[in-house]
Amino acid sequence: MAVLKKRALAEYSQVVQEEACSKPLQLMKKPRLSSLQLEDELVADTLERLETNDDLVAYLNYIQRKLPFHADDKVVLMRKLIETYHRSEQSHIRLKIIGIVGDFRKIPKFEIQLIINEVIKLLSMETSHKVCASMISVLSKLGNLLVCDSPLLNKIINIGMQLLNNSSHLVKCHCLSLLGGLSNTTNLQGENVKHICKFTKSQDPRVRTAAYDALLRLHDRGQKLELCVYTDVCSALQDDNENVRQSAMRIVWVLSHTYPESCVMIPGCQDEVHLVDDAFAKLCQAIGDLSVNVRTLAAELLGSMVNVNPHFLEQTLDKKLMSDMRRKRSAHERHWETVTSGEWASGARWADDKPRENLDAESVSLIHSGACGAFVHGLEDEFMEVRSASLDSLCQLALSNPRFATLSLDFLVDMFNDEIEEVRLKAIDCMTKISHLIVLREDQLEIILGVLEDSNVEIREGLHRMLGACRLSTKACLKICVQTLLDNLKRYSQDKRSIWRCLQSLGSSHPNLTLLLVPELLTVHPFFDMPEADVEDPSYVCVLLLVFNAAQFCPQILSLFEEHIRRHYRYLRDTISNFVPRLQLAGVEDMETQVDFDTNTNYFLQNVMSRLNQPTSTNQIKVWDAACNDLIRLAQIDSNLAHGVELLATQLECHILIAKVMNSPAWIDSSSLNAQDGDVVKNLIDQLQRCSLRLQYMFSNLSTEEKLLIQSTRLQAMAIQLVYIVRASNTSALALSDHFVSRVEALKGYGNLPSFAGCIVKEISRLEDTKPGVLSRILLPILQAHIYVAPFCLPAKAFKVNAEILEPTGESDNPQKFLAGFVLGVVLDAEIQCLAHPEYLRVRVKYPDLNAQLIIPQESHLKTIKQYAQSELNENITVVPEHRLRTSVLVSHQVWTESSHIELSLVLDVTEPEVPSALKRWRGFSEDSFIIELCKPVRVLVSPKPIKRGI
Amino acid sequence: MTDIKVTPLGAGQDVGRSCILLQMGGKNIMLDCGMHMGYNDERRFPDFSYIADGNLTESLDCVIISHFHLDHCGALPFMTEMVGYSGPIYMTHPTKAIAPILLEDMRKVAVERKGETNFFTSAHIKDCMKKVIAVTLHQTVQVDSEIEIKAYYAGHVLGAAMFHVKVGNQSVVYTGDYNMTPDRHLGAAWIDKCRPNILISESTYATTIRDSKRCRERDFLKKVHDCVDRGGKVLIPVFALGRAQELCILLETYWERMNLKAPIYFAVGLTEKANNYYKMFITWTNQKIRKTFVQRNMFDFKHIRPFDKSYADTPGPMVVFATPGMLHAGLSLQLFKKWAPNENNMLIMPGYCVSGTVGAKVLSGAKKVETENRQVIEVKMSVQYMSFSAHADAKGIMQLIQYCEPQNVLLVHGEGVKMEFLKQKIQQEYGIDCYMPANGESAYIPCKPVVPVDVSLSLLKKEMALYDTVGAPDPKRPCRMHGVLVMKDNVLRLMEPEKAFGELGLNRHAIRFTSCLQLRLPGSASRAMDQIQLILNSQNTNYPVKPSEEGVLNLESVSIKMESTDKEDRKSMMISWALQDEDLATWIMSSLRQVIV
Repeated sequence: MAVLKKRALAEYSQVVQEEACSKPLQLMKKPRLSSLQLEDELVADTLERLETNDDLVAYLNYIQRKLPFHADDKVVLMRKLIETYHRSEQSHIRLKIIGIVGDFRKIPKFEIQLIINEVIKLLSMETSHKVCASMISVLSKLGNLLVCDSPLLNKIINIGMQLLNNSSHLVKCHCLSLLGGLSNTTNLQGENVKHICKFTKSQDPRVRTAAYDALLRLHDRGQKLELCVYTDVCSALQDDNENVRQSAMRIVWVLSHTYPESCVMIPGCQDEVHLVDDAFAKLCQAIGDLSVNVRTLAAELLGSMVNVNPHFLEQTLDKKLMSDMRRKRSAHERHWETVTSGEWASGARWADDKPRENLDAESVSLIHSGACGAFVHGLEDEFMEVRSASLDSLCQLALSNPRFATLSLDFLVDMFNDEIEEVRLKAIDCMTKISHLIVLREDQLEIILGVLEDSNVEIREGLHRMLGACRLSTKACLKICVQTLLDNLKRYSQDKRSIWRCLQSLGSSHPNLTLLLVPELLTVHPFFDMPEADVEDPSYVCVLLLVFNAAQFCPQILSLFEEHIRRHYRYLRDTISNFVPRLQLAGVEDMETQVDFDTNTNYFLQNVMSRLNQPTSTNQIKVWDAACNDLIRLAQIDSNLAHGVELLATQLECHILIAKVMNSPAWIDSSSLNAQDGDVVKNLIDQLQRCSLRLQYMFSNLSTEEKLLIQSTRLQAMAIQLVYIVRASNTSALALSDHFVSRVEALKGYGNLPSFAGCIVKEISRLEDTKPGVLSRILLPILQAHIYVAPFCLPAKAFKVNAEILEPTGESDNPQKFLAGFVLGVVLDAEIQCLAHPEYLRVRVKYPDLNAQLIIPQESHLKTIKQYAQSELNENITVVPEHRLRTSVLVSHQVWTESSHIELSLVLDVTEPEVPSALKRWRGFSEDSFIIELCKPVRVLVSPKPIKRGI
Repeated sequence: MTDIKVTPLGAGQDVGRSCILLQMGGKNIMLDCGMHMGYNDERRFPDFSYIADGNLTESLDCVIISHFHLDHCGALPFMTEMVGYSGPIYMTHPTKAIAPILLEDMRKVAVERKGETNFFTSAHIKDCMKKVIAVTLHQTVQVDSEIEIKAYYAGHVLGAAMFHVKVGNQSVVYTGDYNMTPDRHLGAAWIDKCRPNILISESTYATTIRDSKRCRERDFLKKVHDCVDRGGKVLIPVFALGRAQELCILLETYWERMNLKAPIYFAVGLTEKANNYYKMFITWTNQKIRKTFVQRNMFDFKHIRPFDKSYADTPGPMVVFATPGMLHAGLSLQLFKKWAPNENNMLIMPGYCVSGTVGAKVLSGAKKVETENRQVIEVKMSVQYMSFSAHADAKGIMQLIQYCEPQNVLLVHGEGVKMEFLKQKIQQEYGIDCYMPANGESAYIPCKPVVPVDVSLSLLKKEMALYDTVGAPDPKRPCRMHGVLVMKDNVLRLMEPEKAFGELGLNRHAIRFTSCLQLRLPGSASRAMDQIQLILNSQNTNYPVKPSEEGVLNLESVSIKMESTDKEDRKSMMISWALQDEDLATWIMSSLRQVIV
């Protein structure tokens, strides 16, 4: 009754409002426009009634926003629009109308032919160039939707050809792009191509660009460009307009990939070179271009020309130096000579770069001919865009040509010193990529290692990765490498893990070099017992990691181990097992136990599985409970199986909860409800929700069947909640049931669904009305039939998301002080493994007053770590995708009397996918239940100080 | 009249005292007005009497200063205040800000230290600067009704610019000093394809191709770092402005990156003032500084502090920048005396040293140096030479020529022998003329006279439309334009005939020729016409043959009509054409004759 009254009141007040405001002026048009229904009378009326052009434009904008709508009389609307078109004298209105008519193609099942015919009709009468151009672009968009051989398409193409002779560049450009996008590429005998080619000679640079772009478009669509255009295009590389140069460069690049082997004459002499080489040289020249965009593009394109002659390739790094007409060697060459001659640069000579032999004035060529020095210039360019594109290309080319990789090394190392950090990082990354092709010399290594003192963590860690992946030539190299890394550790203790990882891969890739260093590193002496090092000393751990990882490939090292080192091995193997490999230490028995242990777990697991898959017994819950406990313990014991077992345990937990809920009478019957029972059920359902969400969002790398199984469990949980709300509470379940139905519908397409999901899908598709009441009536029997049905299997490859906060460590007792009401940035550094849904990752800050904040980390702060080294070393191990979150969490609070702990943790916030917007107001959800914790919270001591007045 | 005359009053086959006189289109323009640092007599200033005795305002239209180095602007106050010139002077904003600081400093040294008389005063500098008009990059400035100048980025020092000077149809680009490779605080020189008649380029490094800058920088940093690590003191003698800033930025960022704590001192009095200007003119610096200045202005040095003389004896590592650059006097020499005996210390010379100075002696490896008061210093500290020069090398010069595509090149600001080589190369590789006049010698560069004609826009559009409708563009097809050339008030204009006649108040007369051909063609007249149309179409692709009603064929202004005569197969063909299509008509007649008659 009350509701009725309220509604009536609401309607009344609305009416009053409308009446009150509809009188004055045209301003009222707006509320009318925003009414959702767009009936054709309205359009007709409005379009005819609108008097001023501004109103018309506003209305047209409104229509365009509403597209694509599902009104019935779209055709009528179009007619009206076209009538308006004929009436309007202003070209911008006509332009707008054409835009709208073009957008009609977005309406499903709308007849495109109709639009096309209309537009063509209008086009023949149109005088404004802009409107013409927009019509052509509409036609070209529409033409894309037509089938290949339709006569209408030919008509459009013909129109495009005719209008090429239009005097406006805009029309020409659009015609060219139309031809490029629509021309038939299969049975065309190059006729259109020739015609388009002619327009590359147009006097308007915009038309020239459009013509080249059209050719490119044709190429993308499969039309082979003919070789004869090459000379023309090459001359366009000297065009005055930079856009033309860019498009021409793209064509040259395309041609070089299409006809790499054809021969081209070099002007001025009788020699012939391959087209790919010639094109390469041409693009190299463009690196000295006047425009940044052209230079960037040139640098980008060079990277993919991998089949160019190595001779040309090597030229790109060559720049003849001279000083005062005498040949001079570059610093790289000088360096190389001092290294090979065994003499070290004294560093105390003036002009040790002094020029040597005299050069013949005739033989020096000053403008770079061909590819000469292209990358030298590119890497020295003023703009970082060019430099970073050059780096990419250099790296790409080096990957395909080992000799070039060795040559490019010096230049890459030089780039470590770039002024812009991104470029430095990129240089390190490039180096990492090509590291398997090169062997580092000592002098080069020295320069590289200098960068380890950089204060930027990213740079240092990038370098650690690079060092881990590279190959060193001598024992001395390895030695300085290890020493510098230890220095690095002393200086920046937060790099510990990264350095460990680096030494791990260094050790395993250089076992023989390590062997030579072992006595020195471990201070083993043949006669004297040296003092035993402290195993908690980080730098000692570093050395041990290097040695242990080398020892797995070089058994001789094992014999050098003294007793305390064996002890340390066992300790480290226990504490940081993923850095320490398993070694076959003689006299240590843990090898055998390890093997036994393995079979044990497998056997145990099978045991549990078989118990699970037995036919249902009377106290099924107890069986599951026991199994669940077993599995959780098992996951703690065996790291190999942990992820899959945990998934299984979680699933099991869900089903235990489901069974518990269903067995309690209170969940469908609110009448018999005593308060305590009701709370118990409510709690259980809440737990079930959380558990099923964890199941859904924490695991990745699953097969489709496993995913469906999880989905089904989640559906079951949702169904239970839905039924509970309908039957046992008095809140509205409308939004919830809609959400449920949409979830079910999403499953429709899959074959062989698990039985519960299958049943639901079948039932729901039969259903016409999805009111909560009806739904719950159907769900109840299905639910009851599936209490104990849960086929369990072990998803062996599953990954569970796992986060670890490396910083802050939570050990500090010094409070971080800041002014109350202002913000404090707490540095957070965390590693997250197997994060399947980075978009839901949040940082949760809990204040002592139990306020909690969820902070979305900046996208750029979350980085995927590329693990080159590991994937290369052992390919059979699936590489776990790993994320690194390094951000600063902004904390703020009002003043406290003393310092207190706040808690930082990483969580997944799945409110967005799980709570539809209509549900947000519903009180049944505490926000907390859609938050999945990923790690234990870390406590940080902070103290907001009051603001000092006065100063 | 069409020749351009260039006379270097300084910097012709020489470095220092840049001053180039440019005469073109009846205008006299002075490019730079520098002084020679090597002389103390009247030779240090350009010989202004060459231009005129006494007041120069009459004979000069404007003066353009490329950058603030004294060899490019040092003589300016002398010229404006003492010789007398009150015309416009152009320079960029940073140059206008920094040049007076340098001028004042030089004046102090000359007057107060060396006790010279007859030198300009501070007031003169002030008055001189009042006459300066500051320009922005890429801003076109109209000096008078004919002279137009435009500044481009030169990258040599802050505010260095190249100037494009245009008088009428002739134009000259003067580069000043420029640098084609970017450095730590400035970008590279850039110019668009302006195709001037002459490019006047500096050629300091005409015979050098330089190595990548990165190696040098890395070496420099590594050496400083090593020295600081072992607790040594590093002395870097610098000239006041320009390279000092680059080295500061280099060290500052390195300190930041490597998290170093050793202090860096800066002991250059006048640079502090200049540093403020560096902070202000961020738009003139390179990409990195421009991008990051919102967070932190790179010239707001965190690690670099002003030097106090008491610091010289403080123990522990430090890096000190001190003037002068050649160790011949002042603070740098004092510090050198103090620090030289310790082998842990290091001296880094970032630039060239004139022979005879302490710097040059030390660089050439002398272990014992004698100073002015017979005091002998033992040099145990390590001595390094690092060249950080901001001039374009030979490749850079060639690249600039390629960028702006001049018709002639004129080399200044370099040694004659080296220029000779570059001149050859330019002629050989670009095929353009190259000049290198010595001081006081004039180079006359001939230019093709250009006669400008104003074309009326409507005519141009009409003809364009005609051209466009014919078909795809074809560079080989000539495009004729029909119009009337009108000479009036010394201006040539190409106009539409109707307009021209209207303007001149004349009646238009058209001449048409008519001719008659007797042909032997069977069939009716209309069939014959079709046949002729076919023939013409097959032979002629450029002009479409349009049949009109009443059986007349039209081809441009040529119309062809056929009439049957009494005899069956004899037809008389009448051709009529206007004067402008004489050629076409002749061609039609002859071709028809060949085929049919």
